[in-house]
Amino acid sequence: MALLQIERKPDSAFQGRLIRHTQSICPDCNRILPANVIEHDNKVWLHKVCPQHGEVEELYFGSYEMYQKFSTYWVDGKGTHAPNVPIDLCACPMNCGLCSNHLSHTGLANIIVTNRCDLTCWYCFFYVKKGLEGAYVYEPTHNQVRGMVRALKAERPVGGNSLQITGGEPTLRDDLADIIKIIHEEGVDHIQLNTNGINLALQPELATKLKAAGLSNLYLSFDGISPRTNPKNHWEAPYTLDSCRKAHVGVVLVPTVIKSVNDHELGGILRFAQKNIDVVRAISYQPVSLTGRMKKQEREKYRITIPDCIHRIEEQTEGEITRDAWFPVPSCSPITHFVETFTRKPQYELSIHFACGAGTYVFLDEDRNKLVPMTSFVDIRGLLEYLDEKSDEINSGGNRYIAAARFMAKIGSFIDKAKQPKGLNMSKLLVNALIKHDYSSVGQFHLKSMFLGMMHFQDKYNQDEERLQRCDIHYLNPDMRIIPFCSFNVIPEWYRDRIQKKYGITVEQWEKEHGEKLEAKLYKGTLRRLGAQKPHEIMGCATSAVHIEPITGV
Amino acid sequence: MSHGQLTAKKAGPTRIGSISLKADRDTILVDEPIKLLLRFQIDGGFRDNFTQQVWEEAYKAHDVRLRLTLTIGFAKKVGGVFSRKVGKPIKMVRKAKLFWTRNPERHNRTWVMVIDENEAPMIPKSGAEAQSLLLDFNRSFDLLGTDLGKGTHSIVAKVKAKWGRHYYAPKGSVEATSPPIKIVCT
Repeated sequence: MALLQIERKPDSAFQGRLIRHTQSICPDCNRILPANVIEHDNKVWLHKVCPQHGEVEELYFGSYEMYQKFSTYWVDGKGTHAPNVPIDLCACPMNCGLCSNHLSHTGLANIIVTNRCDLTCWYCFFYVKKGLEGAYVYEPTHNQVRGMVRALKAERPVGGNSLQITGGEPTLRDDLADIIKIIHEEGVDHIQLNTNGINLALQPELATKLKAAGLSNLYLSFDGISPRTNPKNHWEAPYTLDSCRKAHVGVVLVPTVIKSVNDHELGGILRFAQKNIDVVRAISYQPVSLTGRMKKQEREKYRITIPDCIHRIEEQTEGEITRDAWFPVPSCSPITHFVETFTRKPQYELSIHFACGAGTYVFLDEDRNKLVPMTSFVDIRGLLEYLDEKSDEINSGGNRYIAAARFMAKIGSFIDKAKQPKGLNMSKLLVNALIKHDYSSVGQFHLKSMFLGMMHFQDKYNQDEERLQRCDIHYLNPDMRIIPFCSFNVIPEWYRDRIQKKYGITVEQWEKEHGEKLEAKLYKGTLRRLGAQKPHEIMGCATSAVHIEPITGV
Repeated sequence: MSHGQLTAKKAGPTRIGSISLKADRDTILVDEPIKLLLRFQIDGGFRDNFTQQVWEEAYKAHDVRLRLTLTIGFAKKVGGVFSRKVGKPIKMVRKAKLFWTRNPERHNRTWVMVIDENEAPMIPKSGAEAQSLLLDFNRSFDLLGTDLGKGTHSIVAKVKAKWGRHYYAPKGSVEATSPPIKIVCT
């Protein structure tokens, strides 16, 4: 293993305290640059200097204290043992696919089934726009889908088992159920659908059809609880939830969080989820990724990071979900390692960088109608420490069955049963999830709880190649490459646009082949008109006058 | 992790060295606290092998996490031996995480983060600093006069460090006792 040596040394003319050196790219020319992760004003910043385009300092993590806490969970993953792009020199973000130097297997694979969309949201980068030069409609064939899923399953040491169908708007494909069936046939257990939910609201039977084909849950774009913050599907989302409720399809709400736009509604989104906890399994807050060229002042207006969202949720829930309840995604690695040492087999692990994502579990206390974070009745840190200790014992020659028996005997001591919500048997849930560690037992855990997650996708301003190298949210492609999210979307000119051009057709050709205009599928706000009170509420995204800057999120 | 693949450079046995115990005062009242400063370092094979060169090899074998458990207790002399425990033994864990660094100033890819017993993460600037952060110990402890009782006491610190099997060291533990100090409690 080796790193491509770059000419320049890290710039030392920054203000603040150095935390670590890393690499990034120039937002103008994509040149690989040395970068410093630094602290000042109790926040963490990324600082870099391009010899041609100058200095950039960007907010990286909104709390130094939380950065320090999260960084203690840093664990590098098992890496890719069967890379699709074998290379010696590591030169992130080039040569993605996955390459020999990538450090995480696929945690969640994205498969784009279409880049057509029935909305034209002002901040979205993904949908095909008619009239733009080089606009291609990308819709892989069934054979291509099968091939891509096989590439995912062929990953080593752990084959991929969790897949998201995405777009564009995937429900625009009439053969979506067939695509789900193919993915299911190829052995993927978890299939989720990334959607705006409008077609599921308009056609309630669609959810049942997709469930029967093998769909696990919906990943529902949901940016706020008012028409202003969520013009996309404010009126439609309740109908979508009803369709899913009837079809027994769980829903993950996915707000793209933009400072000064919808960051005041993070608590409100949580309350909306609480009201619909019978069908909403999780919320995945996604701080916005800023694409396109944007001035520093504008970036400051919109930029929000994981700690900022966590603080706002604490404030907006009046301390119900405290900042201490959140852990970085790789904090679950002691669980994986314990299961690995016990089973002596490599296991699915979430080994992303600690600054990429965070999460917590909450349970509903029905008596008080309050959400209770798992941390208020489970000593998570103590439990993780204990698992680490037991893994060490087994790795050092200790008897694994004795270690597992001790763990089961001890697990109750990490749970405060008096504070545990009524009707919940956390010990049993944990033992099943840890010892069985299969899809169904982990699924049972999720049925009893609601997961709150954060995932901050990068952009050219805050891109940290140490994060990219550990990314586990990947895109499957017809050329069999599996490309990390923050390469695929952050540098579309190298990845996404090229692939869609190569495997897509022009808009004109698509219209000719399908005998309809691309814009014919745009949503006209049918459901909005039923409940709208004011003129701006009847304006669907398709006709929305709201357009500020090309801000993006997924 | 690759079990039993101990190809790191051969070194002598691991030991606890330079152990010392000091008190901030010689005499205290029975209701007063006293501060004891304990210093020691883990030397020998473990330390000698905990180098960047060996981290590189360990990383390739995906042996990336180390837990070093330290147990520290104090004892006073009774009947000619240091048999009476003073206060409860304290268990602490230090950790080291090997990771692939993209620091452009380094030619080697593997580096280390050390997390001390207070869960403070530290990225050392050099291999020697990494050894020091992980294996040198310098910390004060508070004891109460009531823990000792009235009289003249001879006190020692008893230290145990243990770790699991790693690429750079077999599973092991080391123990040591500090030279005694005299404390008068009135």
